[in-house]
Amino acid sequence: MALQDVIPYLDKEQQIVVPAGQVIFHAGDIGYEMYFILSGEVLISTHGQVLDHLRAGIVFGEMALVDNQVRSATATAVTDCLLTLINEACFARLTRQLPTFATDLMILMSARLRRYMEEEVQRQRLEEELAIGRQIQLSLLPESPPSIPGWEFAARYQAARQVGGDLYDFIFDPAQADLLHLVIADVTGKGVPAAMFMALCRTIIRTEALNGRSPADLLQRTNQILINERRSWPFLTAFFASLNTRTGQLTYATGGHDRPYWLQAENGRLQQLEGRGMLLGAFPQVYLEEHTINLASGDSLVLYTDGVTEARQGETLFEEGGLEAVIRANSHAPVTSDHLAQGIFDAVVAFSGGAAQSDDITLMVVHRQ
Amino acid sequence: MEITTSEANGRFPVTIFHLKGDLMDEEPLQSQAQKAVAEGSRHILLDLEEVPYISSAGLRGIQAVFQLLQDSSGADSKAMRQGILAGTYRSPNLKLLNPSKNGMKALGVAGYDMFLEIHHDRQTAVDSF
Repeated sequence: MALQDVIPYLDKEQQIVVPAGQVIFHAGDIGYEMYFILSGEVLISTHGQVLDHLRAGIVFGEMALVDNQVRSATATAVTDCLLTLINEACFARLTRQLPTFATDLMILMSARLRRYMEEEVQRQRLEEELAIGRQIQLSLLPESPPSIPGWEFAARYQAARQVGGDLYDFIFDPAQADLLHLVIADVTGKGVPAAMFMALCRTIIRTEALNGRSPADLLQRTNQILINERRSWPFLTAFFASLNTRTGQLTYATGGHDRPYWLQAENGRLQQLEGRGMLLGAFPQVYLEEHTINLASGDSLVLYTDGVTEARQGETLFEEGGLEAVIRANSHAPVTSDHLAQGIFDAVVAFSGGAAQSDDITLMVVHRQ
Repeated sequence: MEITTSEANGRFPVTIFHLKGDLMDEEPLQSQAQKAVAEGSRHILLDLEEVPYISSAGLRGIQAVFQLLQDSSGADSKAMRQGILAGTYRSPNLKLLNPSKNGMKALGVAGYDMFLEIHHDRQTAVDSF
């Protein structure tokens, strides 16, 4: 017997019409009946996650009828629905009239329970993988910013999901004691694949940085390696700079990455660094400009990924205007890189109002004392 | 994302993709371009007037269209590489029309405006192919 065979025995007086979009019951409601779908479609969900999409000829809400507990999920009509309520008395009558009805219902419940359990195991496995990925990702980021007399460095990182596609790095060059390389980069994607790709990019950039390449040359080389692999990889945007910590000279290039902000202490001027460059991994050759500035005493440099400027408050973006405003607000003496980084991070989080962030948030701040 | 197409004639026949909605997925644009190229299109104009936002996946979609046209046109890839390196290359097969402020920002940061012409008048764009 199929569950549909019960239709002729259902009580027509118990039929109800539920318009599309209406909630039939909420999780946590007290319920004493189950429902048979005569026509229409019903969505079963909990905590915003869809558990089932049911169509005509099937029952739902049976758990509350059987165990008298509160509803474990929410049922919503997807389309206009015609339902029949089956309460305890009706259920008892149906099992007398159709002895196989109870068995069929148990088979249905058992199948649902088995599927939910399998899905839960799968979900837990995925979460475990993401947690491992996150550990790998975090292990690739610097444990702490470098400590160099006359300079302050700070960084903030928060992944959108458990694993993100942003990277920042401070690279010391053993061959050139005064040289510190700065990297901030973003992969076009999220999750484990983005993190794996980012790990590869980090290795390429670190290796090439220690080969003494100039910033534009390094990004060009990174692009070539990614293209030569000819895989369907994500793209990479990256800003790479070499800082001479003795002189303050900073030489940099950007590969399709947001240009950092430079706050000059002498005149209070805040500007985005000049320079253009194409993102990496998309085209066999990329155009990249290389520029040099001198960071003077009191100057700060703010490097960031688009998770900062594209933080959302509804439809409104934080944008460069928001970032500029918060840098200015935190630029009054005494400026410290940590204070500035935390000020920007807090402002972005406050702007989003605690909503789930759609992109990783990564920040680096360099300040010359 | 909705994509409708129209045809226009300048020196060459031009297929115009009218995009509507956030460009956050590469697949619709890529499959539409594959269809157009299979039907013989060699010059595509992306009308971005009604695209409020272009994500990185959207940028990937534009790159896919660029690559598809590059491959199908039999263009000199060495000359293209040299042109890009020198900052002088502009795609003869793919051009953009009227990106929004946010779209323009995304294209600019990614460096797409360095090799894809951006027009603000449809007829001028069509005639530029």
